[in-house]
Amino acid sequence: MNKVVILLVIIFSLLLAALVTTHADLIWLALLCCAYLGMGFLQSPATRKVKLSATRSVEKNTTNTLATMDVSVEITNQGTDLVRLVLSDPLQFGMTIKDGQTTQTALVQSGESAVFKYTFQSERGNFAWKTIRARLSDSFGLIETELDLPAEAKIQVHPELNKFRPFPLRSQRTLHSAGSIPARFGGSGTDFWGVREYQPGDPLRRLDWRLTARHPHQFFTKEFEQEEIADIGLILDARQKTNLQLGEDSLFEHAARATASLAEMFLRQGNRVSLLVYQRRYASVFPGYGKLQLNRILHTLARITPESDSSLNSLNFLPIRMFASHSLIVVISPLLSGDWQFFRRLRAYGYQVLLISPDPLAYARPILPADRDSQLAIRLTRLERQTEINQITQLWIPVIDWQVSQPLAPLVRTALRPTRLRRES
Amino acid sequence: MLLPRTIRLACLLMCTLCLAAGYAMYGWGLVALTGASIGLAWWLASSRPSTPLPLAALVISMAWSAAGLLAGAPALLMILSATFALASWDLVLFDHNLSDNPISSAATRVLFQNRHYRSLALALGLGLLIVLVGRTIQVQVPLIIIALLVLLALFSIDRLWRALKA
Repeated sequence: MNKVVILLVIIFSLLLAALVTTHADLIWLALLCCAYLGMGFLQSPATRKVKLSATRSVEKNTTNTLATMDVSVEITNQGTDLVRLVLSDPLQFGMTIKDGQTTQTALVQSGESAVFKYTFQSERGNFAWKTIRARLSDSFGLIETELDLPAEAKIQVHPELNKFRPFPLRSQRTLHSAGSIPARFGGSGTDFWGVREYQPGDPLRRLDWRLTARHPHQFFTKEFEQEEIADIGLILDARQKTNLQLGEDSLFEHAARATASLAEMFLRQGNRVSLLVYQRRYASVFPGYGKLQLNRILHTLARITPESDSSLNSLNFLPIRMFASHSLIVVISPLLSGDWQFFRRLRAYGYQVLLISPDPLAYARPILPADRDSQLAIRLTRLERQTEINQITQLWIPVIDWQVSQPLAPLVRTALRPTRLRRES
Repeated sequence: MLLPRTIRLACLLMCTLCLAAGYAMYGWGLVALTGASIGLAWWLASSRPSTPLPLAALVISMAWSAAGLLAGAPALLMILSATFALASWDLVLFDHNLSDNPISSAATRVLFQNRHYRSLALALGLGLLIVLVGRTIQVQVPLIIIALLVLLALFSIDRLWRALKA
């Protein structure tokens, strides 16, 4: 309770008692409280005389959801008087405090600085601070004045990355740069590809001596399969309809994490990777290579939130022509009824496709009711989902029906086995 | 840590002693009752300063002082007891605020404490002085004028409150 209110109540109670009992001595007691209150008023800091400045520094500008982040705010008193401050820096939505406090008292003398620190962990997203709130008070703590001191900072929290071991990919078309994907023609790789007649300029160490010995006056050269990089496109479904929220966790977070991990692995292999996020305003990252591209993808993934809109009923309107022809498209979507038509479109354009579908039913199992009607509804939904997946599988598209509690890497490795994604003649 | 604690305990002791001394003329039973109630209230308030117990202790002390004044106990002792009760309340809350380990250097902390003690002494000393001078200079004021003064005080406090909120 505010001290001023307490004192005023006591003063008025004493005055009332003095009036009722007509006993003047009680007024003297009230007068004591008035003197205390008056001194507090006189000592309350004048806002115009208080000169405070704040500088906020964060440990890093970008982090991931697993890492903790240190924030420190330095308050400098440029005024002439000692001030008592209660500093508060409320946590933003999605942040949890790990060390320190977000409200702290500080005593700052003229010319001195006080550093206010805390450590937090955060969910994926973009976060920005503009001010820090400082509550100034007199030494009795009677009169408080609130000030918002400018202290700006921004951070971006990327989705957590799981480092996958490289997968053996078989892409329909490769780009003519050395990489790790077999390009289906002879070159300077490591796997044996074939033998051809020697041509001037071929290195001698590639001569197939055994075959040459069998054919006098002819020379043969061994060929190895050229290894190149591929064009890979990632499509992330960010429709609210396909998302499920269980407490602080959501199905979309798993999908975003999987997208980030796949992008990291593909880029580490040297491939050209692009990203398209399906939401009200498409978020896209055009094809690129390397760490810079990974940063662009993570930056895009950090600011994505699932959106609900009537225009987001079908995947059919995605601008898929941003992906190079015959590239490998990895779609991460829990799927809605009728989405299989989008995959038909992808195949019609000649893309090689892989679908990773986080299973919403398996994810929501802990909260699904066990009564008979609900179980029937669950069975029907599962059948509907299975039909959708079957229709996609019939398009010669490998589908990973992913229960998010399982590790994704082995499933993707199995789905991307060369036999499954063999080149169609 | 020793000085603040000593000052706080001295104030608590003085508050209890003044009250007990004031009630001595009514018998030892009442002395024991006031001493026990005030001592217990302030002991609880000191051990749990974040609860409303300090406020309860202040109200109990003030109520005993007011009751003593109404019952005809020595006014000076009752007023002194109320003064020390007010000081104890302030010090209990002040020490509690400082126990939150504010960000400050040791020198700044000592400076802030000393400044607070000075202000408290000044406020209560001034209050006591006004009371003593007021009690020495006897002026007969009719009840109606007191009522008008109370109304004026109410009005002033209301204006002050609004100004502060603005």
